[in-house]
Amino acid sequence: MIDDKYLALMHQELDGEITSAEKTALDQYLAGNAEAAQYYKDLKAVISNLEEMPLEAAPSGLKDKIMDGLPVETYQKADNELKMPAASDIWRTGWVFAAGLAAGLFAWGVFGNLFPVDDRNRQLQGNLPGAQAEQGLSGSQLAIDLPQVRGFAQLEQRGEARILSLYLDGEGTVEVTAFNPDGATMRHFAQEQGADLQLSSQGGKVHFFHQGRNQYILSFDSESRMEKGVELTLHLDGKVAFRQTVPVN
Amino acid sequence: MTELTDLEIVEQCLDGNIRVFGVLVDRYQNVLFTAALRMVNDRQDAEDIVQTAFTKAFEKLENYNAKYKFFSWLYRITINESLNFIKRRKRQEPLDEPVVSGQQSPEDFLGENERKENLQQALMQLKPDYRAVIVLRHFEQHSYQEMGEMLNIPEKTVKSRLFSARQLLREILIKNGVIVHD
Repeated sequence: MIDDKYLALMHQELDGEITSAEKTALDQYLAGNAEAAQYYKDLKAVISNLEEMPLEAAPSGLKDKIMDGLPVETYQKADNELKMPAASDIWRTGWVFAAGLAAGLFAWGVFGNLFPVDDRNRQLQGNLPGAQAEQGLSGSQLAIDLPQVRGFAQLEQRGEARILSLYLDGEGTVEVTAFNPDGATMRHFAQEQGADLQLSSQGGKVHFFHQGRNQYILSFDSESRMEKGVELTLHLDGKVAFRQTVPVN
Repeated sequence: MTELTDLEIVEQCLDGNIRVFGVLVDRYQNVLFTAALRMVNDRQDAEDIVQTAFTKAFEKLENYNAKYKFFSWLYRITINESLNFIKRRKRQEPLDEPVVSGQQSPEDFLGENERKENLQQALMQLKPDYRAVIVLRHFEQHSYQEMGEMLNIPEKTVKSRLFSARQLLREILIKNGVIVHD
């Protein structure tokens, strides 16, 4: 026969939720009651058996199913703003044309200011993918050569800014992080093609996701010292696949 | 370089960076799948539950309270989704009769797979509410208070369910030869 009071104390002890006074009382009780001691031993065995059960690996396609099934419209405010009430095809075409025109003007305004035609963007033409393929890597360029992704990265002083050029070409989604240990903040960002890029920048760290083939141009704060270069990390399937420092040229 | 925290990822999602949600999926899919599997004992059902849990979490990101750990919030959604799934399944079809083997002698040796299967079957013989507290306590080490918040029940009820669940498991595991007395 086991006293209910001590039965409860056994459970509390196993959960680490017992006071020292209660523990002393329980120990004394167990020392004088073989049935209770055996019961306590059984409970410990139950718990150790449960906690030794292994972690199961999720099915390999689960992540894709989850990501494909997300109601992405929930947080894509820009897309929602373009939604319009039912209208005739003529009106719909007009709306689309107007939206396209507005987007074009916006992009011209933004990137025209960030990268004036006679400034950085033009200076970087020599690093664009076409030219890259013809010229091969120069000594100051860091090669990225993974089974899934290839490309290069280069950090240069351009006028008043330090520019990180990054070209990636591969399959699947690559999580990219560029980090300057000196703490320089990234001021501007542009990509050569594609319009579906989401980007975050905090302090000296830039983080975004890449798919397919693209060229990225990141401009870091010109007033900061960047002696340590930029640490570039590529994650594939949640694991670090590439991590190297791109030195200042 | 530090990895993005859960909170940073949530903030990015709310800003429209949907793809970064994949980092959370990578981070937690195995542990959530394991929890769901322990609850329903079917890989396909567990997969569906985890998918639903992530989708619901995504839809409710704006309601996430940063004073709680994101993982705990996600785990809570998964456990509750598992309980809802069990309720729906119960309405649709009767559960299989629990498989309990007869009393085994100490000479019977249980291999690792058999032991794991026995434990899973023992879990399935518990009422879902009991199973939930066992999963929360012994697979993720949640405190009584956390379990109470997650399941929306008083701490006293948590203790009572946990104690009863462990006593039942003890009896089942002795019957099935997983726990053997000298």
